[in-house]
Amino acid sequence: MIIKTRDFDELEINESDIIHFPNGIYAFEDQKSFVLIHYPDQDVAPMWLQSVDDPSLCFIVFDPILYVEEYSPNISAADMNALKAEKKDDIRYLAISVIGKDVKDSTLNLKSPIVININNNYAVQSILEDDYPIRFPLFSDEKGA
Amino acid sequence: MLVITRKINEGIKINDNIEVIVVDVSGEKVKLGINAPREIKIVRSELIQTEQANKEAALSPATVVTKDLISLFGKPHDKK
Repeated sequence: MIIKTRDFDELEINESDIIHFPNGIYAFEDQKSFVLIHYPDQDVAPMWLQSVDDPSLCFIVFDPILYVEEYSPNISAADMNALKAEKKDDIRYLAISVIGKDVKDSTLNLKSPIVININNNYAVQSILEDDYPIRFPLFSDEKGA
Repeated sequence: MLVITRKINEGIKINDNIEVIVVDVSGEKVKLGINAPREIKIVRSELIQTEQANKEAALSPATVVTKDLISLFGKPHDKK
């Protein structure tokens, strides 16, 4: 199927690529279907989480593992159930970024990651009990940019 | 900010209709009980902060951002 995207005009996607958010994303609860647009050859790359139904809605997301060593949040049993996930190997994380006016001021939400069950493409945005920041600098000094 | 010290089972009253009670304290965790009318919205602060961050994330100026990101991270290859 072909979808309209915010940043890449029209893209052809497989229906099997659609990520299902039964509860939507906080503040966008009515948006239940997204696709992840990414570039597999890039080691460190932004990805685009594009709404299937609303071309204007798109989040720029990053793999938090690339920014925080041992990012290993505790996902609540309720969220694991919602994903029909049984073990941590079933899931992957994406962190939503807020891009600053100066891109170098951008931040990642590590407190409320998108959690995806890679086996069935169900996803939730999980607000963690763990002590991770909602606005983690994407270009922190120690990491450089 | 008003700061009040309370023990377990003690509470505070806000207006005449909202009561917050310390139910339990364990390590760094505090369990609160809240009695309030049904129409009072009670959520964890992180939920509001997450909604706010999501709204800001969705408003990121698309074209400029994508161009800047590509210049910072390198030009993406075509999918496949």
